[in-house]
Amino acid sequence: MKNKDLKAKFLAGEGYNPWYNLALEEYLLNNLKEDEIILYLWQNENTVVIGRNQNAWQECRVGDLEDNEGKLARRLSGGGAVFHDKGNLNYTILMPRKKYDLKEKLEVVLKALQNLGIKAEFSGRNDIIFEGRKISGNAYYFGTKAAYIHGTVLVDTDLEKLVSYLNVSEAKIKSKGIDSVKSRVMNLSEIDKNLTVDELKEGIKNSFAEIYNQGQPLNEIKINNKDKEKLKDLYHKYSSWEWRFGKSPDFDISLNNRFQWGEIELKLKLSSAAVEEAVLYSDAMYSDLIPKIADSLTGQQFKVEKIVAAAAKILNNYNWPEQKKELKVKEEFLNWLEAELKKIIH
Amino acid sequence: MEIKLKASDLPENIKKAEVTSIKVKKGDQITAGEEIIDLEANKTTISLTAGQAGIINEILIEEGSEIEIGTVLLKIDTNFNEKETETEIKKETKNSKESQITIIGGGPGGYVAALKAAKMGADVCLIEKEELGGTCLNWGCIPTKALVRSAEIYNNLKNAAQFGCSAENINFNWDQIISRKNKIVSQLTNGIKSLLKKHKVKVIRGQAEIVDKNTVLIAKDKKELIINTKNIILATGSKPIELPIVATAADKHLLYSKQALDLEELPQKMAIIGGGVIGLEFAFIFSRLDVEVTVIEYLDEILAFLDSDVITEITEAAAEEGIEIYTGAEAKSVKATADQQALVEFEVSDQKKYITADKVLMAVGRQAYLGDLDLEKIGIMIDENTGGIKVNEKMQTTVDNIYAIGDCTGKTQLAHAASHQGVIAAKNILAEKAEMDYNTIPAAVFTAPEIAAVGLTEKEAANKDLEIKIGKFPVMANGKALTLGETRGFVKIISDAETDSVLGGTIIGPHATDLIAEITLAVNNNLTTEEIIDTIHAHPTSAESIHEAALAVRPEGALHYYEE
Repeated sequence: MKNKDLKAKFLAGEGYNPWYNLALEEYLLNNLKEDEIILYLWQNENTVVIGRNQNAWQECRVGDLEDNEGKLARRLSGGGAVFHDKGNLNYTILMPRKKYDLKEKLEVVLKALQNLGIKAEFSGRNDIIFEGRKISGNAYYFGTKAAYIHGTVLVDTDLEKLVSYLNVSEAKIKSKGIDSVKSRVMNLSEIDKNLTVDELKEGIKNSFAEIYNQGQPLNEIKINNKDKEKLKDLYHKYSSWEWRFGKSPDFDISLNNRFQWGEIELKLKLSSAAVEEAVLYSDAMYSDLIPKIADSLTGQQFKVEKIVAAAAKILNNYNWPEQKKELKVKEEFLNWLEAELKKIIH
Repeated sequence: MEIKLKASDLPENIKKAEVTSIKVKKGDQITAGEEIIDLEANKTTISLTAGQAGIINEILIEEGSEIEIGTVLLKIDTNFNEKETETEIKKETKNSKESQITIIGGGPGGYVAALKAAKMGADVCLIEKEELGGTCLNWGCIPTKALVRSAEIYNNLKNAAQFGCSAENINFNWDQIISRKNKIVSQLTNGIKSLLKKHKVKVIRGQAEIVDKNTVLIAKDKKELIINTKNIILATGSKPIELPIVATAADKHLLYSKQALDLEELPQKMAIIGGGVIGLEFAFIFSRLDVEVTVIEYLDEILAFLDSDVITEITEAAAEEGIEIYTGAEAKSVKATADQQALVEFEVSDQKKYITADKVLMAVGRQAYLGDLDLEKIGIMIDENTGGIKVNEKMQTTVDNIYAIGDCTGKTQLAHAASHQGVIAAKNILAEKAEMDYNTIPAAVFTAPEIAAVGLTEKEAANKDLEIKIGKFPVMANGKALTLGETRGFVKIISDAETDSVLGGTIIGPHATDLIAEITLAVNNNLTTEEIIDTIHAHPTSAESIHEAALAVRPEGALHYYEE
């Protein structure tokens, strides 16, 4: 038995805060011993989690989400954006890098579903599907010492919300990094309306114990105060703007509009979600004003209020030759800029 | 050097990836194990670490680049550290030590001599500048056998059906094969370390220099150590012969056995120059691991020290394995092609031939390595024919308190011969008479099938005009061999036509290298074939073939085989 030499352990997540849950996941990863394999089950509430190398705004209607008190989180693993609520269960299997074996580890979840009487199978992308529709999607982290696979299992998630948050209208962003792949998803409750998240948890725990602990009860990991103290830094990382948005791969934004007084084209080049380069074209504004606006945007974080404020400052301080035109241009330009950015940051 | 993306950097299901973050820049000094690049592929984020320390000269990828196994990521300068430390070595302090025997070189000659001498009560210093165990343990016999075994297991898996078994998705992981090998090597070298410690042998790390016949100087870290010694045993080993036919541009394709044991990844095609023991063992290892192998041998036969019936057998086995062999072929040049391959030019009966390969293994033999010691200065003479240190039967050099053993004597290049020479030297130093006999040194070749030989061959008998009798028994007729599914080969025993003493023997077939011990014992003790015949051999074993071959020497012939 090749798995006998691994000590199988279990941890049940507490609470529904994605930033804490992801911090704990990374904490387990960083402290994984060479002979350990850990199953960690956790849930988030009203959350969109994007892949490590995704653009937050391109993948999620961040504004809508935050307006509804939802949270955007960025995870360590690759892949695309997912929506989590209490109808969804997340699992993570953490293992030493040497023991990384996708098919074998995914078997835990597949077995659990099959034991619950669900005719689940693997798809070509290593997702778990039922009659062609995805019920569980996975992503992976292959680190220098330890690795994990983690994924979602949809029990009775609000699929309407899922669609509304993740369906970003054809954005004006051109981004590097990873695009999400849309899949047809379904809830397990459509197959078995009595199935609960708790039953699924037990099922996954049991099949994990069967495969990695000869069917014996699993050793439970306790998160003590010392651990919690150490978790603070990681929590700070996962909740920070710099991680969630700042880690977006380089992207470009191109905005243009024809005003009564002329045409405007604004191109922003963003790196680490801050403006690295701004170029403004206009046949209407004064030629010395144009580079001043562009300059003021450079270095700003990609936040509506910051960008609009920077542009406003320049426009307010500019020594306008024609007072009347000033007001109109300034107002229309700033309104337009704010509206366009809000569409993106939505 | 170039840092490439290796298969072991990635999970097994991933071959290509996108660069998502580069954490280093040109000019940075990186350490081994440092995270340098992040990738994403197939929903997996992957952290790459530097396998080696160095200074980054060039970064050949950018964020967003699609890379695959083999893509060159960085170029680094790895020499910066050595340069610094070289200048640091200063003569700060001088220490001195007394010793009865000082041994230079910790290979199978040196460390065995040290153990033997220590067991006999001597006070021994052993000096080693690299690794205890020498070439044999670190870069020769042992690591190659570890690879032979992995290749054999992979081959068995492929042929599982032959045994009524089945295996799917058969594969191997080169990195894991290498790390298994490394583990075995370190287990053995640690074993030697503790043996030496237990016998109170002082092991000193450093480069030795012989000041005069009683003084050895060792450069060790920043210090120098002087040993005043009564006797010295030189056991400095050998190094590969380098043919001056490799263009500088092709250097990156060139391997010697040492590098072949630590290849980062397996090539698709390998050319091996030299069809001797080293060349052939590697040919079988790599070929069994699905590398296309071509062997280029200068002589008219591979493994030319063996009898031609053995050569025919192993040549057939090699052909079946898919190894391409050119004999009577002189390698002329190795150049680099525009598409990053080596082009090997060679001549067979005045006809020029060319092959391309990803790697070229140079295995044209080894020559005595004299440890960068200025031996002639103190009166030690070198044998002009072999390039080795001149020694007598007691292993004494031309300076009477200095002995030499092993490969540096240019006699045989076998670990077990070196160990035996070491024992002989230790005994003579400690006033116990002993002389070295080179006639009964068995040779073992780990091809598939294995080959082992000891004593007289048919070739030698013909050269010396000796009257001999020959008995041969085919492995095919041995029950154990049939059950193993390895039926190629035979056992051959050569005896004196007059006295019936066993003079030599060759075994090609399963377990040949283990079975040769019996024939060696017979040759060394002048046993007759009758004495072998009268010895009961267990059934069913491969050793029965020796019994049968001994019978075949005699007129009545083998019991379980007849020739029509």
